[in-house]
Amino acid sequence: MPSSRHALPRFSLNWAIAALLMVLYGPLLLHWVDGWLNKSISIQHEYFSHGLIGLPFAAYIAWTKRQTWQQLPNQCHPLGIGLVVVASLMYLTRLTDWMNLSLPIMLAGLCLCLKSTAGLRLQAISLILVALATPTQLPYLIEPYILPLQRFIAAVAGFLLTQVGVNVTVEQIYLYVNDQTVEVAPHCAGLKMLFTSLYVAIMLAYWTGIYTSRLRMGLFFGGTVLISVVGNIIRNALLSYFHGMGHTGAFVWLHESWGGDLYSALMLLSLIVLLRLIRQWIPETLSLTMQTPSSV
Amino acid sequence: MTPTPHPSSPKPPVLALSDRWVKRGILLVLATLAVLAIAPAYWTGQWPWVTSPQVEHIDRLQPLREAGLEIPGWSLEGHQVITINKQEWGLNEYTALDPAAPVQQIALLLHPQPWHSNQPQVEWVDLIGAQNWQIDSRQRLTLNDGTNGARVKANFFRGQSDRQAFAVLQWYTWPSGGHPSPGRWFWVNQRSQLATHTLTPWVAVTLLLPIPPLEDITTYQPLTTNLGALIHQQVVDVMTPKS
Repeated sequence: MPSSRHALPRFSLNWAIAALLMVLYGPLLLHWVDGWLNKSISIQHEYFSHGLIGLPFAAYIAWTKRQTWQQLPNQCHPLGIGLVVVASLMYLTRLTDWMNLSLPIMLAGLCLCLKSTAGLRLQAISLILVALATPTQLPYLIEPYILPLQRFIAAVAGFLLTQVGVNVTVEQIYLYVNDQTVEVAPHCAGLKMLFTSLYVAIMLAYWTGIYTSRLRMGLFFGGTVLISVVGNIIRNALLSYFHGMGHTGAFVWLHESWGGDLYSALMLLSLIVLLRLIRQWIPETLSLTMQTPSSV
Repeated sequence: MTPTPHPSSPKPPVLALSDRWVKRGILLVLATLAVLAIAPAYWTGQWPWVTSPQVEHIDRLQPLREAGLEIPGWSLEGHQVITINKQEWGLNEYTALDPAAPVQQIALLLHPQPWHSNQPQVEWVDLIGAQNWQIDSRQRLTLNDGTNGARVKANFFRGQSDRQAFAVLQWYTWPSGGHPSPGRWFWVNQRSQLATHTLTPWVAVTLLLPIPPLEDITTYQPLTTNLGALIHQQVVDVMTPKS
C-alpha cells in the first residue's frame, strides 16, 4: 500500500512555496506599483520607477529558463538557508525599507537552497534586475556626494546659455538668469534619469546579448552615462532659459508636465540607437588573430 | 603514467538533505513568517507600510522655530521666522552678558524638521546659496555636551560675502547626539526604528559669529565649542519631554 507521503506529488511543494511568496510579497509589490504610478510615496521611491518594466521583464526571463532550472540537480547550499533566515528577520521588522530589501535576499536564498550556486548563476540576471528595482533609501544616502556633479552641470549649462547670448551667472549650483534663480537640485541633476538609463541599459544589454563582450559593454555603459549627463545639461539650460525669459508655461511643461516625460523617452530611445551603432560598428574584442603561413 | 587532472573549480558545499525536506523547511519558515508578520494585516487591513513609524512629540519641535531659545550667559535680543529656499528657519540674535567675550553679538538659525517624513537634506547648501558665501577654512569640531553625555560633531568654517564675514558652526541635532552629515542621522534613525519603532527627531542648527573679514577662525574655536555645547543642550531640553 503506497504511503500517503509518496502520494503527495512533488510539484505541489513548489506551488505551495510560490503561493506563500505571493501572500508575503504580493501586497508589498502592489504598494510599490501604486507608489510608482501615482507618485504617492516619496521622491526616493520614484528613483526606482524603472521597476514597472524591470520586474515583469525579470519574471519573464526567469520563466523562460524554467526548463533549464528543472534539469539542474537539486542541491542545497548552506548560505541559502542563511539568506532565507536573514530575509525573514528583515521582513519581521515590519519597517518598509527592510521589508523591501528582504525580497531580493529571499529570492537569492531560495535559489541557493533549491539548486545551489548553479541555480543562482542561472537566475543571476533576474535577481540583479529585481535587486536594482527594489526601493531603498540609497538615493538619499548618495545625495550629499553628488554636489560636484550638480556644480558641473550648472557650470556647463551656464556656458551653453552664454554661447546663445543669454545673460547668465553661475554660483555653485544656482543659475541666475534675469534675476530668476534656478537651482540644480539632486533630482534635477538627473540622478533619477541616470539610474533609469543604466537600468534600461542593463535590460537592453542582456536582451541583445552584448554582455558577452566586455568592450561593447564598457562602451555602451560609458555612452549611457554620457548621454544621461549631456541630456540633463541641455534640460537644465532650457529650464533656466524658460524661467529667466518668463516663459512660465514652457518651464512648467518641461519641469513637471509631459515635457519631462518626452525628454526621458527621447533619452531612452537614444540608448537604443547607441546600442545599434555599437552592434554594427564595434567588434566583439580588440584582440588580433595571427595568420600563420600554414593556415593560408 | 596517468596525467594528473587539472584541478577543477572547487565544488560548492552541499547540505546532505533531500530536496523534499529542504522544501518543507522553506515552507515552514515562510508559513511562520506569513502568520507572524503579514496575516494580521490581511485581517485588519492595516498594512505595515501605512502604519509607519512616527516622531514622538513632534509638537515639541515647533517652538524651536516659532519662539526664541534662551542660552545661559547670553541675552536674547530678537527673534523672527525667516524663509530660506522655501523652508522656514527661526533666527535668534543674542548679545553677550559678559563684556569680555571675544564676540559680543551672535546669531542662531534653527530649522526643526517640519513633519515626520522630512529627512535632513540640503539645509547647508540652502544657507550658503542664500547668503552667497565664499567658504574656506573648513574644520570638524567636537562639542561635548556633558549633561546629555552626547558627543556632537559640527562643521566649522568661515563664510565671506561682499558685506560680511562669519565664523559658522553647523550640525544636525538629535536627542542622543549630533553630526553635520545627514548620513549619520540616517543610521541613528534606523537604529531607533528597529529598537523602539519611532523616528529620531532632528533640528538643523547654524551658529553665526560675525568676525572681521579675512580673520583666522581658529581664535574663535574655544568660544564656538562652548557655545555649541550649550546650544545643543538647550535644544535637546526643548526636544525631549521631562520625565
